[in-house]
Amino acid sequence: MLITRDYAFDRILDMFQSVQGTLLPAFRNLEQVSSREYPAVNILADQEDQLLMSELPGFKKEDLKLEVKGNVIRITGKRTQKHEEGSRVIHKERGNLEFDRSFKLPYQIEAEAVKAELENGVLTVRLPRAESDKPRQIKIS
Amino acid sequence: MSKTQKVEEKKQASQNKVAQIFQPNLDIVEHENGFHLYMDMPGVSKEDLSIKLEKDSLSIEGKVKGNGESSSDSIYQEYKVGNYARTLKLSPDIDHNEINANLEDGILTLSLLKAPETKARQISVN
Repeated sequence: MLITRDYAFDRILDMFQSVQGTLLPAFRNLEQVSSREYPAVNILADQEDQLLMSELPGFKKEDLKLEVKGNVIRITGKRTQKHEEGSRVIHKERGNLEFDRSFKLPYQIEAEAVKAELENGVLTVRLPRAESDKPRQIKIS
Repeated sequence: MSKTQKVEEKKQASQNKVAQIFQPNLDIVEHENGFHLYMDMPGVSKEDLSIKLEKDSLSIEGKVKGNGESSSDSIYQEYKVGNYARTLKLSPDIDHNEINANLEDGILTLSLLKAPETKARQISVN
């Protein structure tokens, strides 16, 4: 009974969120604030590689720098926001124009094979495992 | 269970899942003739963005492609991927006919003008 009730409550919340979604504070904002790290990053597994994804609206290719060393990837970025002269900011929710974050992977990264893509403000970095770090099949003689 | 069955089930599950909706962060900058509104909407492309004006309500909706598809392969997650929606009420001081929108690098820029009536006008006396 309790489970059913919880479920129904979830459904109502879901509906409220999809209908009135614009009125609810963004859940994600809270998470970002609590993690105190910018930008937020997701890491996904794709076959043998791992993909690092990050939302970086407003950043252009030339605003970002990626460095790979051993099993660490470092992402730094800086962007500027210019407003016309005589204009003034009357409401502000967006921020963070500069950052520096590093991530440690569970394997050595093949630096030469790293591929990064920036599309619609989303950065995707493919981090292939170094050949020397791949498991090898040993034949039994 | 066959592999194709499993894949079908997975597909169904992702379709049944209600996509989360986030409110995009907004900056408003006022200048002499109007306002620039900046909204962070990373992952949204032009064709997946809709902007509607109904009476004085300006609704912005953006869909993110591939939403939730890869969640099962997640190793580490700091942010959730979802669609965006936000509605703004425009005051009569804003020109409802002159609204320009531009989406670039995941930022939506809306340019609104102040209504002509709100600008100071000299009234001639007959």
